[in-house]
Amino acid sequence: MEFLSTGWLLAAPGFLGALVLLYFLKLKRREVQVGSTFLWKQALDDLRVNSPFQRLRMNLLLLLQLLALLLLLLALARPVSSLGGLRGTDAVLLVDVSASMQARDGGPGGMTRLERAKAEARRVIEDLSFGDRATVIAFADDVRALTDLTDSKATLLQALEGLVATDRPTRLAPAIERARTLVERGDRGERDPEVYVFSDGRVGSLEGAALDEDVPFLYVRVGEAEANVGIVGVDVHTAAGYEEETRVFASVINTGHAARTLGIDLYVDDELVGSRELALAPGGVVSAAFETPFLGETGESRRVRLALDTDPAEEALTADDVAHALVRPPAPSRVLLVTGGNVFLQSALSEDPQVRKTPAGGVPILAPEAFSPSDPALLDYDLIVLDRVTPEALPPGNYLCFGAAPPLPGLEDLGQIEWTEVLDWDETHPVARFVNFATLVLPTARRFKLRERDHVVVRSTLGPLVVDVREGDRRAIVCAFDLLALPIEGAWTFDPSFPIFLNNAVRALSASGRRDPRSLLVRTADQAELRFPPTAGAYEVTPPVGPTRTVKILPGDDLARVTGLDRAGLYGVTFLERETNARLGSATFAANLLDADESAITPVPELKVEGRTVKGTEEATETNRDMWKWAALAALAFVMLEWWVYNRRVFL
Amino acid sequence: MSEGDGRLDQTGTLGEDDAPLLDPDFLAKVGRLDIVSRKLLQGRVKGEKRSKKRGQSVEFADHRQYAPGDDLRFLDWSIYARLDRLMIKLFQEEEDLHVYLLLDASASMDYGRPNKFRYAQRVLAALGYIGLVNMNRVGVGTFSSQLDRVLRPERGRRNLRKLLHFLEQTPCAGRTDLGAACKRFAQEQPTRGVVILVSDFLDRGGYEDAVRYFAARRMDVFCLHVLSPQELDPPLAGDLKLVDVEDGDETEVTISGPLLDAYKKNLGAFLSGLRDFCHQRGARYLSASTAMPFDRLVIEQLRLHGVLR
Repeated sequence: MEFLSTGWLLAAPGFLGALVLLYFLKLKRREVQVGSTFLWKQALDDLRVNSPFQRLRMNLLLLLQLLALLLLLLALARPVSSLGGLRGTDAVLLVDVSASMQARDGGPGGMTRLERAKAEARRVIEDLSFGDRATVIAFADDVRALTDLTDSKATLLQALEGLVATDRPTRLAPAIERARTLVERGDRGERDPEVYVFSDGRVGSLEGAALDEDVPFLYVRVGEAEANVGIVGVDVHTAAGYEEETRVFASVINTGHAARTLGIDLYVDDELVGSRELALAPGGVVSAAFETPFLGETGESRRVRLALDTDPAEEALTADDVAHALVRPPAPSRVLLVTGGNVFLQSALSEDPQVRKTPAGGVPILAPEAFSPSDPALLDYDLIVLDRVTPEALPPGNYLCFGAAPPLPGLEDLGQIEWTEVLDWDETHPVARFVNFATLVLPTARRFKLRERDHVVVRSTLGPLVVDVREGDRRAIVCAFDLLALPIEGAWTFDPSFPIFLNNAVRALSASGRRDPRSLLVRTADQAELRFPPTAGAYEVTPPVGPTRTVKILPGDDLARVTGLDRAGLYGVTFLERETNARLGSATFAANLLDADESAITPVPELKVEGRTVKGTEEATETNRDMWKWAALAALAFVMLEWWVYNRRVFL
Repeated sequence: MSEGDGRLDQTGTLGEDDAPLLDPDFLAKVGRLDIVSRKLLQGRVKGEKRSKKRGQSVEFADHRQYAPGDDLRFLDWSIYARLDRLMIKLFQEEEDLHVYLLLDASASMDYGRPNKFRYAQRVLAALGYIGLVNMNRVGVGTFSSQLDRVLRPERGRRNLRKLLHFLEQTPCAGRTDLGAACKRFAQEQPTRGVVILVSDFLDRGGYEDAVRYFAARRMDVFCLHVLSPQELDPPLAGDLKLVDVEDGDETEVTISGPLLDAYKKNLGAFLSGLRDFCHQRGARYLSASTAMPFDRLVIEQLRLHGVLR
């Protein structure tokens, strides 16, 4: 038992003494006439003892009044049960502000999870005892400490009230790491640290998150709803040369336990241009494709919006029901072919409308021996195709490799394999879209040892054939086969799939290029990278919601990296001249949540942190329960008992 | 709580307080009752009451030897014929009985619900009626601190109206002095008879003298002790200033369980003390709560205690 307002207890003797004193005062007694008083006088004489306390000793009413007053003072002193509660603690309050915290449990009128989390955190703050400190840390996939460790409840409550949910995915591990740093920095000898997590438990991988065994870790679970559908993938593609048509793709997931049928609508500049009906099995993902007339014919970006037509009553989370995109007229990609001679690649790339041609009408070609990793001109290319070339090093950029492994750490060539066939391929991968690998028959191919994070696009019976490899600012689609080694008869290089594959690769790799100004579509968890005019000294970012902020470009920055994409939607970026602050140009990009883990909103009952399993509780103060109500109730009961005794003459 | 007006249960009635002193139904029930004296009493007129004295009457009692001077009319000639002895017939002498009704009209009687004074008035009216219809001489006295009013003993039903009027017109006020009043009454009544004293006996001076005076005059005394339910079990609570209705004496009390217990214990001792004293002095005693229906007291309890038959 602990008291939050001990002043009332200190004043208790005064109050109780005053009540007793009142009993010594001459009462104004009510007059009652009786037939004779002499029997009463005798009775009084029998009872009266010379002690002045005689009256008090037997006075049940006074006893009850004293008890009621004492309980009232107890209630005012705000007792809390201290079973594992705050004991001179440094409490770290980690509040989840990820997209799933926008879920509204209990229908459209219910509280959001963040509101519930804030209410629980508020109770913890209000229950802090004298000398306790706390800090409020908001986390989604990033961590933001809103306050230092402070004993100012006003500061803490103000920070808590200011929390708004973002459209970002969740990663609790960095937040735990921050909490660990905080509590270890504090004086462990004198203060007990305590870490609270207010979340629905969809917190990503906790691998690597560590907290000392003796640090209490409380997981306050919020949320109940499970039904949700969300857009987890979106792509807008207008192929150069196919300007008459723009394709919009969306992947929609159903994370609930019931099958759902719903519509998905496509808006361009807020005008409805298409609608599809989707049938989603529980846990299933379906794709919707729209083919619309070219959206970028005006030469300007156009706003594309995909929206799920859901019933608010059965949809707890609506943040993932909308996805934004921008479409701009595609510019041809700058592609460099490094080969000792490959007629298939040369002709296919030369014919690819996506590829910028040389004045001679072909694709630029470089001999393998002329390829120098240190050549700065290489950085100008959106894509470099390495045909049977293994350079000494790989400069930053995008690569499409055939027949040899690029020099990336961990990627090894284990030797040759013979006569293998395609087993399966990832149809959702951008390079595999509309490509049929089934006709790919391989007399020989290379066998690669992959890293765990490498994504296999095409798998053969003997190993991976096409791999999507990323290493820092380098990305490569590595094909384990040599195009020239394919059999002539029925060769894949003659199949329509081959130029489509090349086109996919050019488009996918160019789009993800580090120097690609057309990186119009990012996830809220990522950063948007934009090229800026050479004279720009700063840029203004206008988010979909909230105030515009200005970011300085530091010397040495090669790209404007826009971070802090808290809200999904369209972001405007305006570059400002270094000296005059004049507007030099602007760019727009779309940020979307697109996170299947975040769309799965079913609350997680327990968290596992470094071998420790922490069960979620629904109330933060379960171990630190406010008990003033019970004391007040007991006081009321004693007052009622006193009144009853007074009226019913139940005397001791 | 009913003591809100400062005077316990004075305003409320149970109906009995407003009832006439006697009603025809009740009179029909008591028509065959008569007042009984346990003592040999002397009347001035040969009358209807059987006396313990032998004398002239129609009811044969015994024989005795003739003595010169005896009235020859009472010589039993049949014995003289058979036994040749002169025997005089003795007859049960019948006398008229004096019944003295003594009513406590002090302020303490005007208390309780049902009201003690009204209750006493009705009991005495009933006894007066019974006495008159049985050709007894019925006298009434009322007292508070002294003997206030006296109705001389009269006999005959025709005096009933006067008796009732006397009782009705008796005011209820003043302090109690049982001893002085009873002494005076006893002195003023030359003839022995049945004294029926109705009082609450709440007299700081004590009740002993009163009983003693009547006993000394060899009166047949019957003490009817009336108390209200509010005196037997006071419905009081809280911090009170108790005011004696007779002398204004104030007593401050905080009602508690022990105090109420002590009060009841004292009251019990007071009642048993009075009863024992009466018995020691040859007086009869009955305590009655005014909660007991008036007719039940007269018809059952007074018969049970031998006052009526």
